[in-house]
Amino acid sequence: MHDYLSKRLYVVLHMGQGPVFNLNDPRVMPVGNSQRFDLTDDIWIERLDTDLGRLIMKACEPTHHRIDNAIIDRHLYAFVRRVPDNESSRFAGMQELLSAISVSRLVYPTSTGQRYCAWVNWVGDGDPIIQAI
Amino acid sequence: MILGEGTKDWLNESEAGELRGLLNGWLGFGHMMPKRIHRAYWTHEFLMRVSVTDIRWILVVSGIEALVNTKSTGNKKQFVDRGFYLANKFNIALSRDNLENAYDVRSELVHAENFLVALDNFVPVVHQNVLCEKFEWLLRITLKTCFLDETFGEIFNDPRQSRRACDDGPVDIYRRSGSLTSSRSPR
Repeated sequence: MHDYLSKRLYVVLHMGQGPVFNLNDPRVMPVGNSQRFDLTDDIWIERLDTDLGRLIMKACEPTHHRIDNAIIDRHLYAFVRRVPDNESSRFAGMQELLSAISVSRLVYPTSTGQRYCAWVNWVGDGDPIIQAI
Repeated sequence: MILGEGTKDWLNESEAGELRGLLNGWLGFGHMMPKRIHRAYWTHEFLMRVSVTDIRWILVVSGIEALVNTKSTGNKKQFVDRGFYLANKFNIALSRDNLENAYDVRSELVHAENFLVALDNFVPVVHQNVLCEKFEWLLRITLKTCFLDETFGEIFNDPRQSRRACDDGPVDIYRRSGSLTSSRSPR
């Protein structure tokens, strides 16, 4: 998949339809497919690949019964942070990512929320471990 | 989170660039936010999570008050005078009447005297959402400028400046800080 393989990440998905025209046009979107826009040394905006996007959605949705709300990937882009090596407490590093999103609303208000907010860890082959936060 | 009707709901590239500037500027150095700026910032984030305009109205007025009110008397006057100056500074079309009415509406709402829809004697119902959004933009751009412009942000930090702002009026004190809308590089 990507260079984030074998890494641990915090991810917050921004859901939405986005512009109706070319999603890869940098004038309208910070990132095209599978591109990333660095915000700081360890925080960036990225359009995740559709498989990963869908898996994160699935992890963060209620389980329901005989209903799958994560059939297709609906994320427009994601705010991502590499999990710091020395966190003072579990998920402490998520705070900085959420702060970046909060500051983004001073630039332009968006509906980026905390519904699809996850800790993602690649261990070995196959799908990553994803924990909804 | 509810955005205005027909509003785009994503960051474009230039906005992402602006965010990068903010995160790598003053905010990125681990400074403690001045208390008044911190309270206004927290209030802005909180109001972004509320969909009901009745509550957003209260919060946005509180956020602006957190910045501009420096003493516990004459709250409405401080809000109107200094809010009007900030609105002019940032080219947001708010009149003194708008500010006075907004404060009166906020007082009715915060004391649960009425629902917003019943307060059309202050602000016509059809204008309420638009006016609330203007105040939100005022709070937003003021906060953003605090993080981009050290001199401007200091107004909301330094007690002497605050007292002077209170005594001399906002125009003098803000004028001393130079060009507030200039696009200075982040610190």
